[in-house]
Amino acid sequence: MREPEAYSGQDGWTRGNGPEADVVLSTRVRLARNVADFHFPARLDDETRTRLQARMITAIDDAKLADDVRHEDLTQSNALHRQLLWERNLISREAMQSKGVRGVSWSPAKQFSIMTNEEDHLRIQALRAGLATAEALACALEVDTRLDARLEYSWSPQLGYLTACPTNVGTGLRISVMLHVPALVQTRQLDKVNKATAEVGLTVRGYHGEGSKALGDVIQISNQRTLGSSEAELLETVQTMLVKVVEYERLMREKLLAESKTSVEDHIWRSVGTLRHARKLAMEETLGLLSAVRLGINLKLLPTMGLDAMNELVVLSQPAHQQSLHGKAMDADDRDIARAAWLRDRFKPESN
Amino acid sequence: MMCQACQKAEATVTLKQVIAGHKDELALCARCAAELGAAIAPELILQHVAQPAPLDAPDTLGTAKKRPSKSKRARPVLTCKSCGSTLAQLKETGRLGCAEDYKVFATAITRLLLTVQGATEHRGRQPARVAARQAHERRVAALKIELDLAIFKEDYERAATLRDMLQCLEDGGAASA
Ligand SMILES: [Zn+2]
Ligand SMILES: [Zn+2]
Repeated sequence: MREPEAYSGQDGWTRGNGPEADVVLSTRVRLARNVADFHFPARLDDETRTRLQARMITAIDDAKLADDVRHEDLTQSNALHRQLLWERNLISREAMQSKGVRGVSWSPAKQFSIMTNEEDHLRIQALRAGLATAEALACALEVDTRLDARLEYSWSPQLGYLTACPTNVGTGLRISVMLHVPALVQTRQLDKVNKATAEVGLTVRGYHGEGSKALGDVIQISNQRTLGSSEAELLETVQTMLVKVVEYERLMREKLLAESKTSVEDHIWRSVGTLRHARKLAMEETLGLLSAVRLGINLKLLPTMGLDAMNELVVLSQPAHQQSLHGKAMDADDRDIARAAWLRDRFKPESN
Repeated sequence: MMCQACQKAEATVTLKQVIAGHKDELALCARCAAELGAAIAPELILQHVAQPAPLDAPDTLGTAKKRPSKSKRARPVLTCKSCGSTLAQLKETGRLGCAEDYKVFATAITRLLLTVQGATEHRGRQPARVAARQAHERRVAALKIELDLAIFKEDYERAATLRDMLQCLEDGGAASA
């Protein structure tokens, strides 16, 4: 089993602070592409998938996208390791769970990953810490341009890049930004955000994309539509809205502090107390506690502890990372015990 | 005749699509026709299928029962020849089997796109090969105009040069396409 430390600092999006780090955790840009003359992956048998996979990997290598590109055959790797990759956002839930021949190629240095034979033949992803939509889009489009020169994409003048699901057709572009919005949650302003984003064709979802529940006060805002607007227009729409939501969250934080500083402090210090003393911590509760600490750091109510360390704590608290850290497979109960012990150590008074 | 979309009800309507130069005809039940046709009404011509009761059809229960199964065979379910997808599968999974499906099920997909995307026209980037082909076509078109002009001016020397250039460009374009 590989240590998660092997990844730490290498896919920098979990570590770095990035622009607007007090509110924005990370930015992810994804492009869906398919190779002409092959059915979409769900309709390919493993033999054809293997042949296509080899062709795509050759293209990725020939494109010289980065010096440190590594390929992983997800059919060969074990379930825990796949979950680890998923928890770090390098692969999707579908790539983690599905069965057929599939893989992922990624570059820690340039912070992109390419899933092969997922729902589409190629899913190009660029990840960045903080609010970095333009930078992430440029990275993904650069990868796309180089692969385009080596693979003939499925494309039509009317519908653009053809994808397995019509919800991705056109640009195949999804820009997602992960935000930490505890003040918007506490002041019950999330509905307003939902409404405003929906009006411009954006959607709000939870931490790992599913549902609309703001687990750990984290939401993900992304463009719903992929057709009818250019890549630049989609970027503009997301960026404009994001800047407003960030401002809104900051405003609500000020309001909270002005109106109920003691309650806010109480909540934050109770969370620190739980992290220092709890004997069992489930993931959901952990996200809530870490969220409170993050808010405390941002409001300067807690002694200094880097925000980047907080981002890393969230990633490392997840089930597969915990099992990897402790070097063994554990059931949910044991994981909660192990997670609590690990967090107690991280939040020892001396270490703050 | 059974509805080609749901295969559950009798088809009463023919839906003709004329989208993006791709034409096909679907025999649909009233419900599916409304569902598929409503969103793109301007581009569609809906017409009721004349349902003439065959004059020679004996009005007995026995033969009337056999009739639907016979007409079911007469008109095959709309299927993608490349991957075998049917419209029913598309509706069930929301996923297409291959790129050809976008043409085969253009009517249903156009309706879906209007709902989920609010658009039916791509406005983003294009593959390099497409951009190169367009640039090539523009160059050929420009040379042709220049050639016409040279002939009109009776500048045959220039016309000969242009013809050579055009020939060269068209050969090159064909070779790389
Ligand atoms: Zn029907
Ligand atoms: Zn097909």
